[in-house]
Amino acid sequence: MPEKKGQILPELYFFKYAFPCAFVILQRGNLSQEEYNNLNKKFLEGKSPSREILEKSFPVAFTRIKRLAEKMNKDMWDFEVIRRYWNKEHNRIINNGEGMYGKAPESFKDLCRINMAEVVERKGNMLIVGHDRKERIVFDVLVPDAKVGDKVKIHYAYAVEKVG
Amino acid sequence: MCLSIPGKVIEISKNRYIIKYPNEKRVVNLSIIDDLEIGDYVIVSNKIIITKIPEKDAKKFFELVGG
Repeated sequence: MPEKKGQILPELYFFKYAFPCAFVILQRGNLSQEEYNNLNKKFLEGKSPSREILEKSFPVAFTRIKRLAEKMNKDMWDFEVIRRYWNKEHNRIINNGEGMYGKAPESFKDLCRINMAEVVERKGNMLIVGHDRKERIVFDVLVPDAKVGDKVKIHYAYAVEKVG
Repeated sequence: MCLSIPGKVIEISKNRYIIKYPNEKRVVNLSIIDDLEIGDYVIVSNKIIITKIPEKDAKKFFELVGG
């Protein structure tokens, strides 16, 4: 698939947001250590695994993406579907308390949410970011050029992309 | 579903943390949180302690999922 100017491929966009959850899937025994290591290697290289591997590794996300794609009348690998999933649908599912999110403590749900945050300090390859009057420490590996004042989207312990 | 399983810090020595989970203990050598104490509940990602979780939330989590 040709890459549009200024836009990353849907596979890589999906993977940047999904990888921070891969360790949870490993914890739950639904990914082997070898599968996790392969995902981690790709992540650190800034590359994406194949669609087949992504769909196998993150089945819950793709069940929801398929459902969203049907609503949008688009293919589930359409960039707009993937983007809407991470920018709206994922938080909506958490906030609506679907599945285990219904009874999960707020601090756990907040780690799962995609939050908009502002970089307030850089410490080596870590960023201290502020969101909702709280501070959090995140890795800068996906946004190595982020500087104080930049707005970033965060997921778990990662700044995923700069915004604006 | 990206709700992570928390662990309890049961030992801290220089750059070495022992984290207790319901069925196992794990050694972690890196934390991005610098004020950890024994008894804290934490989330570990990719062999790195990434955050502390309030004790009441960790206990509620285990009530929810078992363990």
